[in-house]
Amino acid sequence: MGLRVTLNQMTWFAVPIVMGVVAEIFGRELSFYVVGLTATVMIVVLGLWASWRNIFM
Amino acid sequence: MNDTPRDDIPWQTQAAIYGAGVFSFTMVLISTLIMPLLAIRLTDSAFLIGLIVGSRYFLTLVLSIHGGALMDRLGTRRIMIAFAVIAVVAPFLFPLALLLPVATAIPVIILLQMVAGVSDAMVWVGAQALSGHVMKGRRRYVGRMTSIVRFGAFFGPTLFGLMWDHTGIWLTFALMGVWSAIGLYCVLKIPRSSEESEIVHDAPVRLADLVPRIADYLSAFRLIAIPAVALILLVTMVRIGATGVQSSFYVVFLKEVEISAAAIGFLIGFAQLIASGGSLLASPLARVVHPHWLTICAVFMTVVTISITPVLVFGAPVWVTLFLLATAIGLRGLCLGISQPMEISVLGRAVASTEQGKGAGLRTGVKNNCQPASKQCRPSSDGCGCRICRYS
Repeated sequence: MGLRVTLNQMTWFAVPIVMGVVAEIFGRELSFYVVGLTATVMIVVLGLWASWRNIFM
Repeated sequence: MNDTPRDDIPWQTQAAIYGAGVFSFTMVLISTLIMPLLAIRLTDSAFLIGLIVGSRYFLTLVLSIHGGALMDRLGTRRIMIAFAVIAVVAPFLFPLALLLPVATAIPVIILLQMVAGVSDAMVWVGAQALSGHVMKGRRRYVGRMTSIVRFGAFFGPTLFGLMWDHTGIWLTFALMGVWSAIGLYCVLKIPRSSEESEIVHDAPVRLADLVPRIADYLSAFRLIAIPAVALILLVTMVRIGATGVQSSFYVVFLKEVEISAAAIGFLIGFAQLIASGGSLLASPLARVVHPHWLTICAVFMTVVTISITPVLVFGAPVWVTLFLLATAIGLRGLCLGISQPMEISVLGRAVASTEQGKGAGLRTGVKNNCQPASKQCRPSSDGCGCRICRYS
């Protein structure tokens, strides 16, 4: 749980800053799509990895 | 204080813990509305807005494992009181910082954000811990706490959004201070448990106790070697990332398209309310869909529903825009509610089934608050205690 807390807080801290940088580059509207697409790809990759490693068994 | 036959925890004690929980947790949500609104008043730079908003979680990040250990060593209530006092003072300093030149005000606001953020978080973590210690982790009490916290989470952001729209920065932050002061009053009303009295009596505050211990962190990080743990932690990070968007540029974007602060506050509160239903749905859904896949699908939807925000604002009448935004954020809340108990349940099972998880790594970190969380968040028995695990 302590690990989960740490990683969660790391994300809470980093995401607004990263999105701020992305918004500076692509604009605020596009930053939603860029961050959303990145997160979507991550979640799909995690799902595929989990299937490949048989984590769900 | 009298006990009743049905409730062996006095209602005054329950009220104090629920109060501490609701006033600290709602302050976390309120700040996700107010701070982006403040940031866009200070600067146009998206990076600085992100930095101002994100900095609220920096000290909480640094102290997340250590904070739990500190509560173990010095006593939960004592730590809560110290942070609750800071949480009362900090909101009054924000408007004062605005009196400084902008170049100075922004770094000061960032520092204040760090201090205010960790204060709210520690009081909230402590309230969860005490609901486990004082109320012995009973589902009935945690369920009540969850209901009350959700109720506050719905009304808090809307109320402060209205304040922002109709009063101004000074009064809004003053009310935030008053809000935290009520939380402090509740913390002071929490009686010391016998266990904690011993801790406090036997353990004076030493500098060594206040310094984070690397061993606490290393033992926790060893758990990432377990694939199921790694999967859930990464999935949780993605979910939190989407929530990070909601608590920063979602507010900024909507404010820039002339949505009122009250309406944005309502949307944030609405998502919390719908998340309650989602938590209750987690258990029945987990019987149909494998918990791992359910978690991944729910998190996928939380990402999609926040990412499409600009699509929903296309120049339609305001009520149509608000309806679309409420539908999207409601769906997001539902998926959040489903994913959180799943994450905690899957993580708990993965760790429990592995010898590594039985070592000191898990125990020392946030022992106090993870006990009630893990007990209450199994989806098969109870999805209700899950939203309160945001800091767990």
